[in-house]
Amino acid sequence: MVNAWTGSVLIARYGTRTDESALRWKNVFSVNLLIALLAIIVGVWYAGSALVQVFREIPEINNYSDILPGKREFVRRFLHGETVYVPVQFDSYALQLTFLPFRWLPFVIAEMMKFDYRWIPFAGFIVGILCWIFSNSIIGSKSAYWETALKIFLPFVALNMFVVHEGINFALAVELLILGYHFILARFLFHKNPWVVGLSLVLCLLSRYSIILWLAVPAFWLILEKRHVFLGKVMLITIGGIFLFYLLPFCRHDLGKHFLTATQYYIDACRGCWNVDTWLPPGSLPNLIGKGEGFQYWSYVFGPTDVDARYRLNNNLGLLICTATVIISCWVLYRHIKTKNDPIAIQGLLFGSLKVYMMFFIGFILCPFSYLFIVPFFMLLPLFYSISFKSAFLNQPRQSV
Amino acid sequence: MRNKIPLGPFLALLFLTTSVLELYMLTTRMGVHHTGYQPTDLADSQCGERMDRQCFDSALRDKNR
Repeated sequence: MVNAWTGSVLIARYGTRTDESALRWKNVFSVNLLIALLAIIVGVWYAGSALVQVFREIPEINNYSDILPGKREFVRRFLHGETVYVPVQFDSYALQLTFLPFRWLPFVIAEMMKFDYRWIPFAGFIVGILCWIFSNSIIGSKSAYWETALKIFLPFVALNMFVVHEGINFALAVELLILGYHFILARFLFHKNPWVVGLSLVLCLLSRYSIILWLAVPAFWLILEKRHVFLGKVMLITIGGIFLFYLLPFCRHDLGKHFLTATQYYIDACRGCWNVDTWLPPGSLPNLIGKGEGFQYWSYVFGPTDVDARYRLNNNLGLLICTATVIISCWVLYRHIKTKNDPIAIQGLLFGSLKVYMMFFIGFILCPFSYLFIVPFFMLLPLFYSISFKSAFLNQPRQSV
Repeated sequence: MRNKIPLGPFLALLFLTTSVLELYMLTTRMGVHHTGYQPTDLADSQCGERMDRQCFDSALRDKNR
């Protein structure tokens, strides 16, 4: 919360715009670009070597999780022209498909080129960072060379820390791919072309779709700016994208009923995370809730005696706090637009609001798997990239937009 | 004249410090200390979040060997 707030204030005072109108293409081929590309190469080597180590320890084909085996089956069905969205049968249960297309479609590349599926999420992370390198915030602004190098390299250091401390998250889950989509969305959120904004939204909505409630904030901003036509175009393109990439190719066989069944299956399966695992001594906290990464612990320990009621309490609290975050963000936006209406401050506000929203959304999620917390943490990056640290440390507020 | 704390460096340092702190808390699971959860590190690192007794038992056996 504190870093989201300070990040927003820093952008308002010392920030740089991300949108394309601020980027001068003649400035693109600069020493800053060279430094950024060198930093990304070093970063990929640094985090990549930690991933290589993890992938060696835990083979791609394992029985620890159904995430990758499930995706392998979707890809196989897709490439063989079979119906993708029917349950996948495992030894003791049938997995209902909660994975939307952009959570498994990129793995078709790995299947066709015969390499380890787990490099696809890392590639998604790199593409997300590359999108930011080619932005006004990194190469367009006249930032100091040390600042460019650190801005590109530090995310890989953070990633390396996650890999070193809990490598299994990267061996079994594909969260970096979803993170890459969120980087792309944040990068192009202020783009002038509705197609770019709409398609970036489709990537997020057809993967984790956590941001769906938060989208009210940028929509409200566009309404306040009276950009109704632009908003309408973005909405149409987004709906069209969902139709084209999901409903039309994958939902014709059951008119999308599998999505509702899978959602119910997910809610029921998550309830299992609130039971104390058999391998823990009696009276222990459930494994995932006891890790204390999210807010579920509080509902579990201080909630009603009935575990079902604690589970419902956590869900209701999550919904309430996420809705409150959206309403407060809209109110702050409204106040700002009525008084100053500074585009860079609005950018800071939206990025700060996204960071806080994601933190609460995942913080109250029904089953708090560790890997889910990677995305909310890295939602710091749009804030981090938009701040000019050189100006902030020299205490030189920007003069004009 | 009273010296003011320069806002830019102060906020930048606050932003960076709180971000590093968030990373530290998430990667080291600082929260576990106050939840009282004490996983067996080896079992946890081998079996992760897979709630499988067999996996944990075998990891513990290996550890105690």
